[in-house]
Amino acid sequence: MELRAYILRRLLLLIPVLFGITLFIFGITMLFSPIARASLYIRDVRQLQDLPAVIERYGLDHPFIVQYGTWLGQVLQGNLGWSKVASMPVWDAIWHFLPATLEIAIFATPLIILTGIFFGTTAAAHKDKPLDHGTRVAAILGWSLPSFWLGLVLIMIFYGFFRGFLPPGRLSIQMDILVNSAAFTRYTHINTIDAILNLNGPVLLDALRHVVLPVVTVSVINMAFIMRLMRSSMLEALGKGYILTARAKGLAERIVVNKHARRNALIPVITVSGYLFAALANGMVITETIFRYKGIGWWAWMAASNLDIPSVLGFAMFSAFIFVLVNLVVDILYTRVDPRVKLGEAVQ
Amino acid sequence: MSKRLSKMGWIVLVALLSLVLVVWPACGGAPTEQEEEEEQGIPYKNDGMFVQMTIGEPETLDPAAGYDTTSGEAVLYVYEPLIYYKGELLGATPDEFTPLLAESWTWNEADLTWTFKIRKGVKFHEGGTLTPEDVEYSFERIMTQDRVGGPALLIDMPLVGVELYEDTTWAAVDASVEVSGDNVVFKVTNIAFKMIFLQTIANSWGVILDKEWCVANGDWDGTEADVKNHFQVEPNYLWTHMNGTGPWKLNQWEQGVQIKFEKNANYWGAPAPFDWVINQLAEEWTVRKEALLAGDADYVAVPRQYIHELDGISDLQVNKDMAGLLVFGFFMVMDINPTSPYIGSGKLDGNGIPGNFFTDKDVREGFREAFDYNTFINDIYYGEATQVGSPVIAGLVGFNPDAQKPVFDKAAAAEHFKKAWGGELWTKGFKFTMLYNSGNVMRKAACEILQKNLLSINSKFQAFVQPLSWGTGILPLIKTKDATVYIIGWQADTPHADNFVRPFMSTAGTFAQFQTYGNAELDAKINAALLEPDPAKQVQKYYELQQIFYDDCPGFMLAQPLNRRYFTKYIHGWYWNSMHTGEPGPLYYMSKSQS
Repeated sequence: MELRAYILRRLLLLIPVLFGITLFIFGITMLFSPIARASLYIRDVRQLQDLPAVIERYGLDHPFIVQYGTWLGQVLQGNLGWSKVASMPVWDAIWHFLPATLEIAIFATPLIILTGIFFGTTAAAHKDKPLDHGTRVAAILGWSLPSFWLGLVLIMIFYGFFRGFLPPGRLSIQMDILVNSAAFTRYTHINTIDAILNLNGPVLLDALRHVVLPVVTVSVINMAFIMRLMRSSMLEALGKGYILTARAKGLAERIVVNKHARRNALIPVITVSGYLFAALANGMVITETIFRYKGIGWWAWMAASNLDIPSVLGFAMFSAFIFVLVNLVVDILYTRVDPRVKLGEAVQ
Repeated sequence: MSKRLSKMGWIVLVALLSLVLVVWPACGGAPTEQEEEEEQGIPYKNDGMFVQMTIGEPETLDPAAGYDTTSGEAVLYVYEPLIYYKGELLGATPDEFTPLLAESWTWNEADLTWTFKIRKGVKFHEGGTLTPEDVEYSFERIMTQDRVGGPALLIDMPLVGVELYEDTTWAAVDASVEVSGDNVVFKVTNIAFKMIFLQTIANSWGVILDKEWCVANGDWDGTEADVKNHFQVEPNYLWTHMNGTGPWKLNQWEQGVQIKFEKNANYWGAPAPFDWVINQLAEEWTVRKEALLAGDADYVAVPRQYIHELDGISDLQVNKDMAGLLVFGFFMVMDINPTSPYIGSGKLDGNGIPGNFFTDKDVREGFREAFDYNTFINDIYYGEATQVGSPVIAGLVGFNPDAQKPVFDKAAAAEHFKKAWGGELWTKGFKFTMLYNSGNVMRKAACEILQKNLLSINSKFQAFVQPLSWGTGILPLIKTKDATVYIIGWQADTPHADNFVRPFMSTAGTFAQFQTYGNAELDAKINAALLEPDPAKQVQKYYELQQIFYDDCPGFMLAQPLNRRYFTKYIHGWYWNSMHTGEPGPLYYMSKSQS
């Protein structure tokens, strides 16, 4: 199937996906009474008497289909609503919070994938040897670590014990003032990328200092999964007949493993890696909160826990879009990695 | 066999090593944090800046909309009211205020008016000049926009005698604030509001806006015809933009992260002591603590359960035992919704409670005497709170230090329960659920103390404790009267006893209405106390109300907390005023230096 047509077809599938997701979420929120949903707009008991006015203003007691239709109508006009928890339009909130999440994801994803592939390959190549055992134990530990615990320990060590060496937040105060001044141009709001584009070394170093700990936290936990998957996949690949043939031909073990086995073993890892990036891009609530790296995950959590329905719906649509996009990229990558797979047949 | 043992041995060895690495620091194998801190000290950083880390951020930057303390704090950095509380004083008399945008103020007893002479030569941050018309506009704006859940009622009550704009008219609002040359004249509806009005406007809801700037950015144009276009409409431009006259101006609000204010170089008064004021949002306590100890923050919010983690750190200044105008109370709902899922069977059959369970005064008094106040104050507040007998708390005019206070007495509680419901309660028992807002250690502890004591008085007295989210869980349940009891905190809007008595005791009071407590006779007494012109007699009237609260027992007060504030040693000039409710305090009067 032609690539362009394939991409278009897959993107068009986004529409029913978005419709289904938003309908589902809207339906779930309707389980809350109008009073519960109106409570988003108050903070204090003294404001309780205003709830009937809130319900009336926002039509919270209208039938489900009317409320959904009203919301959908606004969305089709480009208005995703107002994010109460962010005090800005939902559309703006997505773009406001996304850069922080992407900054972590951009650094964490290759780290997770590359180290996971490396250690998984190594473990498989040294099956049942100490190196294999060691990586498996490390994988179990990494996977088992609660992210909030790991994050706090890292802060206590690298920020507390080492006197501010690796601080939380996205930038130091001085750099933050600089990047928000006329002397610095904001292109992406991803501080590391903007620093490079502005050719500003101090900002880049400061941004890197701040992103290290959240990236490490996220990577340690997720790396284990890739490591284990790669190991299993490599073991399967190393058991195939063509590997035996390669060895019989006298090829160096390094070439057998890295050139022949690993390439085939990468296929499931590519799939998972795509989902990994999508999951990271959808936010890491705990990591973002602990390290004051407020991204889209933090915003989504705040929205959900406060029943900020427009924000929840906006996040759901964003999330669906990311997953559809990532699925598409993964399917295209498949065809590059495995020539036997054709576009349109990838799902099979 | 030996090969398998070797594999297993490796795994066990690695696992043990990991365990030791994790557990060892917790066993005191490393130097304590205090020992480390005392060696290294808190470094001096961010010269010229005041950095604070707190757990909340403003809901809105519009002075007419924000009722929470965090919004109010942000507003008061940028905007200014006509007057403000002077030092530690609470505005009991007209000269207990500092002039800000008003140079002077005079009272006319015959007209019931306050006349404020507006300061000249004051510039707004965006360039406009302060005029009396701006003052008039600011007050009329807050009254006519009357944002849901906003602070407008505080201005409405003294000026137009009602709480809602819907209950008054434009003509009344317009007539309540008038420009007269260089002055602005406010007419209050009753002499009782003479000092209450001053106390009210010395706060974030009394600040002054630039009318031209507001109108230019789509806000109300100041006319009656345009009122309807802005009545309870939110959000608006001012929710996220600011243009005041204050010592700082808004630099950037990065929602969820921080809000930054920079010095106003054209401030009419003495220059601001800090070039930058930065409020950072940091929900995690460890992050805040480490930032304080690293010198990256000059002030952080310290939850009470963590105060001992900062004990003995020499480079911190700890200000404590400050009485605030804040009280927490436990209240019983007297007409619980019969379909409430928190009342079990809904009958007095040992498996639930009826909706009118708490209408029996013996039940309420039994609950009151089953609560261990000393344990609560000592365990939850570490002794840094006082017990009060009624909503009229220490620091308010009319507070009776000798007022009757509840006493923890299980025997007395048992006697009340034996009399309750004609003796049926004691034999049948009850089951119901008490809710508290999840994450709130204090409220959870209060519920659990009561739960435990009730059970020990009679094993059939089963009160379950359940957490729920405050905003989306408990608040709606209070409104629908599904909540059986609730624990509420009340922070003063003004340092006047009426501000505490009315919400808790008046029929239409903020809390009393949801309990269905109050009656016409009591309402009359409350109004009579407010309107009493003789100060000595007024105090006696409030003494009487305090006794009524104790006798009626619609609830009982848990504690009036004492406050703490933690700063690094580099911060100077801080002082406590219980009406300055936001954190950290009066920044304009503070400074930062290494000496």
